[in-house]
Amino acid sequence: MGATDLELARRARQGDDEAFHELVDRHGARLYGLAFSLLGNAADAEDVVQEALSGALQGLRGFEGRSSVKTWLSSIVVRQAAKCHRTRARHRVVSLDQLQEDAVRATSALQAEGVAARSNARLDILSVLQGLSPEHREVVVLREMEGRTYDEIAEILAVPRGTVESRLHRARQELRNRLKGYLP
Amino acid sequence: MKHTEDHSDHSVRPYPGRGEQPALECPFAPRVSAYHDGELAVAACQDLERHMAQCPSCSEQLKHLRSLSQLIVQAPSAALPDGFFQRLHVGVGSARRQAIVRMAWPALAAAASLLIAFSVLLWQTPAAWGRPAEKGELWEIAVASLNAQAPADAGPEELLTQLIVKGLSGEGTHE
Repeated sequence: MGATDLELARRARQGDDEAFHELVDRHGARLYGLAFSLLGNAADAEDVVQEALSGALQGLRGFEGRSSVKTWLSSIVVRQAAKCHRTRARHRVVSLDQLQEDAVRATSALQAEGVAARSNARLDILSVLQGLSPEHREVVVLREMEGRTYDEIAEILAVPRGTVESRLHRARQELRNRLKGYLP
Repeated sequence: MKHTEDHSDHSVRPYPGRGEQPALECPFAPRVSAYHDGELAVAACQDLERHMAQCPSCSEQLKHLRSLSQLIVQAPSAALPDGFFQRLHVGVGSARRQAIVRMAWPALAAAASLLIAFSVLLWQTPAAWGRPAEKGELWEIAVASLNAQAPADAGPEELLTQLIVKGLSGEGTHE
């Protein structure tokens, strides 16, 4: 039985590089999946994971082990992804209207493709997710794709549990509207 | 609507109105999402199930939520790019080194400052400070030497005169 995440984090905090690399091996792929779902872009997702893990390494002293390492790393990735979104929005040439249009187009594609092309349409779900507001996208990804509990989501996003509940409800309503016709 | 009549008996409480929900939405609708996620307490679940049995809107919403979750869960998981972990480890290693440099920098700066301050202090210190301590001031040594040579009855004025004469004639010490 290998060391637990908390043990590895404690060793890494004491300067054991190998311990931190072990944590990277354990969580890297999952964090990449999370970043990819939030950003819908492979290059940005990799950058975000890289920055998040580098930040985590430097912030190890501040990690007190009150939450799990998995939750702690996820919260850093979510924050980093939000930052990346803001930066992208500032530097993007296309307007927010264009973003909305892209999302609508992806939604229409989903509706038009039908069951036979469902495997291709699945790819576009990520595009539809990108059309949601960051707050809604975060809760949907954390709940539906990461399978996090409400308490974990609340901890990751640093919001009350009730906020997670209501945010998730509204996010799903919005998704339902965007995917109307595709859902039974 | 039928479900509104049942609210008073339920322990499940709808969200307080914050002006965010559509006017026609059933007040229990937000709880359906939590029910779908298995995040309601057992008693609240039972209450909501009783409510949904009488509320077509909420039971329909539950069906939609299940379909939506199925759809999202079928979304492809992101394939890792080639060389992802290699780049990740290199990046983390580099961040580690930068962190060490950042931590070491203040200590190095402090040590350098101390060294410079000490060098300046040494530079400004008179050379005599580094020599072995004399037994007394030079004039005291000279007077003692004169005392040894002078007659026992010689007064201070006579000794001073002898010292000046010796100094002028080059016999005395120039230190």
